[in-house]
Amino acid sequence: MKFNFFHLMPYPDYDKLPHEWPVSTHGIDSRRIQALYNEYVDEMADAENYGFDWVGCNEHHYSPYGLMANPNLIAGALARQTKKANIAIVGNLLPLLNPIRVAEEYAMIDVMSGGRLVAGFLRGIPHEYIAYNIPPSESRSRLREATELIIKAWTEDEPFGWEGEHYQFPAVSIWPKPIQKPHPRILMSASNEESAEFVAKMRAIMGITLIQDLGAARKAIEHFKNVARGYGWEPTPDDILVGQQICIADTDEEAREHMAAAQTYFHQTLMRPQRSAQQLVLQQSRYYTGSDVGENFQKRLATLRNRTVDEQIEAGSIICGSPESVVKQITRLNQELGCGLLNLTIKVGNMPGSVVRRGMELFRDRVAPHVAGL
Amino acid sequence: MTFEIKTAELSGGKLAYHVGGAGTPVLYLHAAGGVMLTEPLKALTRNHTVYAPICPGFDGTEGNEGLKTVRDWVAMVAEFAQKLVGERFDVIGSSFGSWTALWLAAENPKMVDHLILGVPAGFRFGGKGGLPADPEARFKALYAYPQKITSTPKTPEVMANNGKTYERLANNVQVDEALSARLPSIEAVTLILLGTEDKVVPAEAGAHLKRHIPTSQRAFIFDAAHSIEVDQPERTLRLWTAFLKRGPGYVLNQGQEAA
Repeated sequence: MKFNFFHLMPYPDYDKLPHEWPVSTHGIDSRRIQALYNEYVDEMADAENYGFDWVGCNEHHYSPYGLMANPNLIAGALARQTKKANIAIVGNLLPLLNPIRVAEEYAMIDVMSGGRLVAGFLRGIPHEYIAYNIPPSESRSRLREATELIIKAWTEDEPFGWEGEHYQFPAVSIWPKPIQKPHPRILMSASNEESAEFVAKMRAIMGITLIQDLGAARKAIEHFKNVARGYGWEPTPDDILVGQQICIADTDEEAREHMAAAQTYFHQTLMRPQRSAQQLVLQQSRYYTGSDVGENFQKRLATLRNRTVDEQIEAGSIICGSPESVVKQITRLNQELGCGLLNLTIKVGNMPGSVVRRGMELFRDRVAPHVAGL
Repeated sequence: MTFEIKTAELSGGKLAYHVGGAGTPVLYLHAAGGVMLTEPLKALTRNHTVYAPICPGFDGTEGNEGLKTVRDWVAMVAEFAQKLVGERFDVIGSSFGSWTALWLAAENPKMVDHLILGVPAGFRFGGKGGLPADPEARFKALYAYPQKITSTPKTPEVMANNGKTYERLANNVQVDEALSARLPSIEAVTLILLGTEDKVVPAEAGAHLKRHIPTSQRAFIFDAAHSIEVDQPERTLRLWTAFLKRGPGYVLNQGQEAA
């Protein structure tokens, strides 16, 4: 198995309960955030020496949920500070962005890192569309067109034009092209049947998060595999990435305590302001073409929020415990889901930096040696 | 659609008002310069019945000695609205009219549905902002694009009386602390509009209102001075109509669905 040290880069000191999204920055000290960037980038840069194969972050806007509006900037720093880990940006929210700019920045990161980019092409969560004033109803068609345009920009040596539904570029020839040929690995979300079709078509790594039970996750993965077969290829474990929050401590009890406190902050403070904005998008747009999928998304969030740490462990939603327990939980995920990639969030909510660092040490010394060969 | 002027008989005296259009009612509360029938206001009549009461003493109307404060004027507006506009309606204010509108929403929470506060007066923190005394400087502060004025010019006498009436009601209040304390109780969904070139209403005023009105949003209109309706009529109308139609959901780009 391979492991991604994934960082949401949260703001851990928000002392109010935010009632709306976008969240006000009144009273927030940007010097404190400078220290956080240093702390987080150091953790990410060190991760390759702690048994992690990939390191990465993603994109969010307008809230303390994550401080990386542009994860490519973080990736630029990591390209110089790491030597061997893949840099996994999971990912740029393509429908919100200029796809040519994404193609250029991703190509730069791949070249600067010597060919270590894993390129996440994501649709994003619903309310992000308000941030950049993009119609949520166009999210899927924009994702499809942008994905194909970026691949074309990476792989066509001669200048070309693009005349599409959402994008028109009369002349394209990005410099440089990526080192990886024909292009960097692509990672996309395939948490539901709607998205699995396109991910399979693009032969991308399938990402799945917010697992509420292993049976449902297994079903989604099997669906993806079946669709992929229809496109003439057979996904391997290296094509299946599962996202999980993780806490590793010296004992099970200690890990549960840390996870419970961090998740309280995560759900009550970081996730709180997004709910009403997400509801607005789901109610007033065709972000999901099937209403059942939208409801399913909301239900999954609510289900996870209302579970205890023990219930989440049992359901396969999170990984939490002593190194020995964590080895068992990872082995179970590998066996039950057939996933070869785990996207692990160690900095959950306001998890203290010392707990994150201790978790990294335990992962290196007592977890990775037992699960890397799975 | 054109406006006509009518007069209402209220318990505190007569009240002249402009009315025009057809559709769901909108109460428009005027600025210290009186009612200007701007392009956005005229366009609004395509889908709304717009009521624009004229505070006694403004725009050549007879003064009313019973009106001594902004709240006195608000009480008169509330009575007018109950009698002619309806039980629940949308409100748009301009500068002094936004100050009036805020009091109306604070004291009549069930009356105001959507509340749009254009360049709201009444919150000059640190004495910032305000209208210059010099007429030329005042005109520049009001308009970035005076050539866009399309309403009939007012006589110097009318302008002078407007100014006197406003000064009596505003009573040199820089920050309306009593109103500020009431902001958290406002129930109306609220949109605060500011001009990027506005030197009359300090930016802090908009931020203060955004912070303290529970369900509020704030938007800057690019390249507009204090008179946003004159300087940028299309942008102003676009925000007015989107917010009146969709409330807080106006922030969601509906793309082709909206067409």
